[in-house]
Amino acid sequence: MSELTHLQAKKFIQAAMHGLVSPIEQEALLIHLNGCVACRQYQSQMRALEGRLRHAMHARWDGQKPASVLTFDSLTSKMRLRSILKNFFNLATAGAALVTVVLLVVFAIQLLPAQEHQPVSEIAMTTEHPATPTPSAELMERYDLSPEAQLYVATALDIMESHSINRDIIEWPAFREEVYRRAYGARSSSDTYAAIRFALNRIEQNGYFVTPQTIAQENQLVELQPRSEIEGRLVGERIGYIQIPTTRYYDPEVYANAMQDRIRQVDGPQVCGWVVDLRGNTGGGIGPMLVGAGPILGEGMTAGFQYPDGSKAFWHYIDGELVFEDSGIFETALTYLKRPAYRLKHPDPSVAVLTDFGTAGAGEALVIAFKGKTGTRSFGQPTAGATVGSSTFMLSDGAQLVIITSYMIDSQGVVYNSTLRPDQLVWDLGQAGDQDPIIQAGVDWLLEQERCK
Amino acid sequence: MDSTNLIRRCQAGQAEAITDLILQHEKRVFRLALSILDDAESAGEVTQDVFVAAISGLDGYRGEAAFTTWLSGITINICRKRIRKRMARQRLVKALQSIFQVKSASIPNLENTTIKRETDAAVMAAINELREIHRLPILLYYYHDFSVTEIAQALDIPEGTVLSRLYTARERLRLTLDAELLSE
Repeated sequence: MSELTHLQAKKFIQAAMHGLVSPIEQEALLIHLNGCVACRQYQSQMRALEGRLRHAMHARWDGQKPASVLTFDSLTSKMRLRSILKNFFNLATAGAALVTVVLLVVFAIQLLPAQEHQPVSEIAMTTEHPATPTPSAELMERYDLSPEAQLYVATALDIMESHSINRDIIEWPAFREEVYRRAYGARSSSDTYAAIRFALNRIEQNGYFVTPQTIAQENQLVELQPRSEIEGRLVGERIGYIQIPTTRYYDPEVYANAMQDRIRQVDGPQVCGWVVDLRGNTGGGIGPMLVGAGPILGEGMTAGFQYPDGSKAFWHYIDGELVFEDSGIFETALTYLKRPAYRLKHPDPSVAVLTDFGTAGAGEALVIAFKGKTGTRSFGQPTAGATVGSSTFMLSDGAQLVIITSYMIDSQGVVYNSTLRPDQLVWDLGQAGDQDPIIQAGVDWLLEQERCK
Repeated sequence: MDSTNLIRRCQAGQAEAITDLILQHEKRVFRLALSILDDAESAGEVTQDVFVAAISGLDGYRGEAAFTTWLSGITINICRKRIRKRMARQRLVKALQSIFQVKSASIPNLENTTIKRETDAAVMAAINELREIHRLPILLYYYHDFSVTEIAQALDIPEGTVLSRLYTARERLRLTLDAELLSE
């Protein structure tokens, strides 16, 4: 194992606190600690922190006792009271509850098909709308759920059952009961979030649920950090370098245009190969990335998805547009470019693709797209392993449910459903710029290729 | 008596078994609620609510996670609801204070309890400054000695997320606390 960076050393120090480092990693950590005062101090601070945390919390709470002794009688009387109140509520407000349910159904019929099940992911293809769930008085009663909470859980479960890549291996009736049980007593949609997360974690490793609060925070972050620049330069005289970052902080059109503009600026008659840097690309929209990198990727089939029934769909980069082919039928064309697509001075170049643990989602789709291309070699570290296609569904309160619907495939139809290992493992020692050993490994390989000799 | 048998008897509605179950888990539930709410009175009330919810929903317990983990999940959910209510009440009191310019009413506050040792006080203050998503894994791991797997089950999040939240929480605590406090 190569030498560790300070950041890696910190991560290993914390992982070691859980016994999660391998003997090789332990050895690398010891070597690093021997020569690094700052990381030794960090390790010592972490040890002290653990001791301080335990001591402070025990000192604070160990001596405290409950004010009243909990007995069977006090508990059963509380349960009886709750039951009486519930029955009273049921009788006195049955009419009002019925009206609420009717209003909810009307609301659902009018709004849900148009808004709630609309996939918003850029990766997503046309998706069937699941049937609008019907409020169930039985479930509300059995799990003490409000109509809003029951409808919310039902909607989320319907989406999962209709779209998840693992939908055929789940025993849905039992699974639904389990999820409802976890939502026991929920009154509002937010009370059901833990149950929905539980459901998602059970059926998919890569699916996730985002609350409206998180979305608001992320939107604020995007508003605070709008970006329009793409990094690109010449390495030496003959190798072009382009960084392909996540699209999350960019407008999709700005991203695709800025990427092609940067490639145009770096390219020249002397450029004989390209380094495509996907390190730290945590994903985002696959469309702007494929179009932005189109001049280097070349015309034709790029990458695609395989669905649970075995059918395949591909993205084709054709003259600056992204065309979607589903089971042999060409459909959607995405256009991002404001100017004619750029073509390299020397098309179909050799390409060194750089990856690391931070390369995920659409970033990995780009790695796969380049894998299907001849004259490509990858360098760096394995990717995150989120090689899946997803669809995002917006729920009634603005929360988003991201469901994994397919696995990624390359242009040859090879399925990738785990981490992507680079052809050549190279560790980053922390130096910047051209001295970056991963860039250097890519450049060295490119200079050995026929076009650069 | 093993807990599976005890739970089966509780599910059959045997009063004696329910009492045993309460006795067996009451302290643990109270301590967990206390560490989240930092208020003994509220923690006592939550303990009652937890057993009411647990016994009402006992039929749904299928033994996929340990019973204590299942009970911890219920405790955490009820505590979260109470925190939300408390925050709403604090916001209301704050708004009323600004309107009527009166002094604060007595609301259970994380800082009310006297803490003798300055070091512990500083550590507790730093813990209380953490966001809930980071504070809970720290409490469960360092005070309740939950494993990463148990925390994941109790909070309904993947184990990797637990590890990353612990990592972030420790980093924030380290940066917040004075370096002198962390010298061994």
